[in-house]
Amino acid sequence: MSHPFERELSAYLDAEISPAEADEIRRHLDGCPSCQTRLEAFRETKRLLGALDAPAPPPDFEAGVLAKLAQPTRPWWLGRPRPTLALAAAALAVVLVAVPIVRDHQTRLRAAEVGPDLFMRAAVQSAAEDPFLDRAYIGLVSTDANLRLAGEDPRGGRR
Amino acid sequence: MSWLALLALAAVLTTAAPVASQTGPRQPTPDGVTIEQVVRHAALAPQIVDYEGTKILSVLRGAEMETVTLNEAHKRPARTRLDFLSPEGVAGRILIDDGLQAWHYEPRLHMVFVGPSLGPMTDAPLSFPIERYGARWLGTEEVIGRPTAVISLWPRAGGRERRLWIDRTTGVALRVEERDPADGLVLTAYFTRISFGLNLPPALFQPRPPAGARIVTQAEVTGPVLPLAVLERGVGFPVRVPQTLPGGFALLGGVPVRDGPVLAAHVQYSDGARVISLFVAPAGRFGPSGRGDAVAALGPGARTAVVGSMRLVLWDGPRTRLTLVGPLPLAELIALASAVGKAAP
Repeated sequence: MSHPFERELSAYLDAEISPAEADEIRRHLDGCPSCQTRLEAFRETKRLLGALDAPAPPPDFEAGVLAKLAQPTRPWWLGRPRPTLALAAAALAVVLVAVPIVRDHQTRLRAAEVGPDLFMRAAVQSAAEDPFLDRAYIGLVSTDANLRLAGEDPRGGRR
Repeated sequence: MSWLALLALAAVLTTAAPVASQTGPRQPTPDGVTIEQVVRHAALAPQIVDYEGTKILSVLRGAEMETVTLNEAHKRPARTRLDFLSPEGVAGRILIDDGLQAWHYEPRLHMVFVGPSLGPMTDAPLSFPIERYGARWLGTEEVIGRPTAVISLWPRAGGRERRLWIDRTTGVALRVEERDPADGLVLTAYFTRISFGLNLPPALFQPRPPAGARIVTQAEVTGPVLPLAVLERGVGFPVRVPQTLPGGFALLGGVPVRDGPVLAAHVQYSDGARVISLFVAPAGRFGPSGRGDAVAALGPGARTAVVGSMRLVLWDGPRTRLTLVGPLPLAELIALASAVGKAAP
């Protein structure tokens, strides 16, 4: 087995793959120190992200901000107290890491949902060389697949 | 055009096809022609006649039959227009196929889907391998007042029986039934009225997107059917295929399939008339599928689905999501799925 992709390692950590795939990745990891390192880095990143707390602002935070607003002399970010900057940086890091993970997860779910329709449509079109396969049947299957691929129920109603 | 003239034309075209002139059911019918001649006449009919009629289509979906009514117009050689009438969920749907491109208008969404032709004209009718089919003459019957020859065809290797009520004048199948050994009747299509020889106007087959309709262009199949090695390089992942195939089937090759998040290798097998499709995609691109029915024989997550003539089996192999689609009985598709990745005996 070649080295697994990042998304496969991510799916492996989240137990979002089949047992057979998990076994194969596990076997690969047993003999691949570099992938073990990648996996550990991934695991640590996810652990750190999960452990992040939203720190409470200091008691005088609001009054301080209002006072600073009344003194428009320096760029706003130079006047921020360090905990606020740290909080913003942490939030940005969460967004930068979490968005691709969530998007990847959604992409996999979407692919699983539309895959059978896409494949059925392609197969029916290939089968059209059968001169006795009913044309209306081909048309019905293909147009239904078009709608499912567009996220719509072929018989009405939003999916 | 008369029945005899059409037969003569079919005979000329049949002689031009090397496969067609080999073996086949030579059983004479009471009409004085053989079953093979009647079947070839029917296969060629869409290239010879125009027609327009109302059709009732009943298709097995899962455990239930769904019935759809539509108007079907055909202009030789390869143009088709379907206007769906009922049930309500499909009423107003239009499909126009000019042999190059298919155009689907969905009124409920005010959307137009444009994609590759659903039935491009090929030489398949000429090379229809009737020698691989059992055939039986079932007699003559009237369908909507027109005399028809009733023929039963079934693959010699086993599989679904197809009955055709073939119009004796034009060769058009006025009624079709498909029976699966396991599921019984899976598809029925018949005309309730039909008109022939109209020389239908080309404008009927000219797509005209309604004002303001959103047009969605579908991903096209990227080029001709490729050898497997070329296909693997094109999609960028290994394509595992079955080492043993059902009787009469041979590998045609494959094409990449792309649509949104999905990239798969589409490998095709054919016995000359029926096509089996195997789709191979990296498992990392797919989540678990909840569609269809579970099938334990192919492991956790494996599913099956039935849509009329077609059966679908999807399952997970090592790092791979595989999907088989074809007009074979489900048990045969599952057996074929089990052969993927195994060495030939």
